[in-house]
Amino acid sequence: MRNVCVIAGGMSQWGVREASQRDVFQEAGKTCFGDNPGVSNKDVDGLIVASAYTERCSFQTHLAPLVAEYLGIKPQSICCRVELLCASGSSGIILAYGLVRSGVADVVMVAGGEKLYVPEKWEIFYSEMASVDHDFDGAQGLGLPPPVFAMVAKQHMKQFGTTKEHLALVSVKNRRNGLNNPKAQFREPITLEAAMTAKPIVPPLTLYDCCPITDGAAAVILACEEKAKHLTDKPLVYIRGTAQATLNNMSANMPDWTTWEALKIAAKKAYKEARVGPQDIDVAQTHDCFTISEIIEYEDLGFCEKGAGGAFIQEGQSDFRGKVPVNTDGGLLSCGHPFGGTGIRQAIEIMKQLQGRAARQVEGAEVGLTHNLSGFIAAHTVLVYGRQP
Amino acid sequence: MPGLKILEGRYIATMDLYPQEAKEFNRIYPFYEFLKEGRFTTTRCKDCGLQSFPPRVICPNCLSENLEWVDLPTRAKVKVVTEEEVGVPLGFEKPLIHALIDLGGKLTMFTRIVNCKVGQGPATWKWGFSDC
Repeated sequence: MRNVCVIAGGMSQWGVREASQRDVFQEAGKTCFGDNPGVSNKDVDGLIVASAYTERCSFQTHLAPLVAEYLGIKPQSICCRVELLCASGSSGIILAYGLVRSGVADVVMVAGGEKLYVPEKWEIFYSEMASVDHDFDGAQGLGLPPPVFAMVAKQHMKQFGTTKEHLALVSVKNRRNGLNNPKAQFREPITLEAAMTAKPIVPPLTLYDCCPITDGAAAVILACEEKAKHLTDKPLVYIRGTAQATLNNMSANMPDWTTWEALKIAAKKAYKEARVGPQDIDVAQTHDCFTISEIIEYEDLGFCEKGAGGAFIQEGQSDFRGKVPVNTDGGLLSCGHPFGGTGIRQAIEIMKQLQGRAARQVEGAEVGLTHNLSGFIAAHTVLVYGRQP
Repeated sequence: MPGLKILEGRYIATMDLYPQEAKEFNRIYPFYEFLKEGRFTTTRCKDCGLQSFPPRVICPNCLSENLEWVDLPTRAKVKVVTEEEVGVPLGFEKPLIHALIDLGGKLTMFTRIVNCKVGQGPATWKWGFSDC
């Protein structure tokens, strides 16, 4: 089995875009190749595209060959699309990793993104009912995720004493981290007071507890170690462990709403494969679709004890100079969340952190982690990256 | 598909591409027929005994097709409730009241609460899969 490296990454501008899906994919591809002049579209032998709502919002299937055509890539090993809603991007990276590791492919681009803003605003609320078990949870009007995460937050507050201030501190931190990210949807800081008094969305979640809807795309390039040595002069960043776990899809089959069992399973496997533990993670990008998510992720990734997620943010342990700086590029709360793009955005930030060139650098970062959740907390995806193989 | 009564008149205006509750489109249509009778049901495997929800055509444990319909409780305890004001999808009224309910320890699930405002007593409320 071969070692696999991430050698380049770039994003389009994320936000409410006056641009089509194919526009943002082109922007992301160009930025990705621009990130590393040592690799060109002629070096790429495979392409995996991650997008969830391409049929619904852009009426476009067979997306990967389209992206290949637009980016001047002529794939020979793989050219297809993957979908796992909010974790589509990370799924693409895991698949590309497997193909490169096993020798099926040598140099693979993983590009992910969405065009979600359409003229009828109700369309996206309606489309989101496809994200759950449509015939059962969707039939209840569950679609956009705030109600589910609101009920998770209420239970976590009751069980563990987590407070609204704990939630607010997550959004204040992530909005501060997004300040230096020119590609982020939101680049203005918010005060604790603003976060505490923002307009209600679904109680107890208020405006800044929720990530926005976003247009945008991102791309990374993975290469086998041997090729990577010739295709980049930057420090090599290795994928060391991956996992994707799911225990249920419909709400009726969720084992526990405040302890995410599938996340614990995924984390355990990814740590084991990477030969590290949670104490070894220097920097992490976790799925902060809502502030409560990040708090539960601290716990179930093992950064702190179960129930201590609120104290972890309060003590600054997830901030710079804390135990594990989390969402150093602003996370979903700042950058936004074009579903297929998010896992790739996280990979780009970890690559830059481990190469020592992030906008907000964690000094001496050697081991990094990304985490996506998808659906109604139904699947969890964890990847561990390192400076060493 | 001309000639299907369930598609007459209205269906072109809805967003689902086929009606879930129709026997022409869904092998678990008895679930919806039972709902009309006020029964909340699911399938149980006659071979291994596993009861699944949502209902199936194949047992997810032993893969048997030998399934039967069984009744689930129609009374449940609300574990947590919240009201959605922003982002309510087309076809649902504001506020959309969501709850995590416990059906006698047998099943927990999300449902919507109708005919009852948050804070009102249980006398008037009704949950889930209503036939309205």
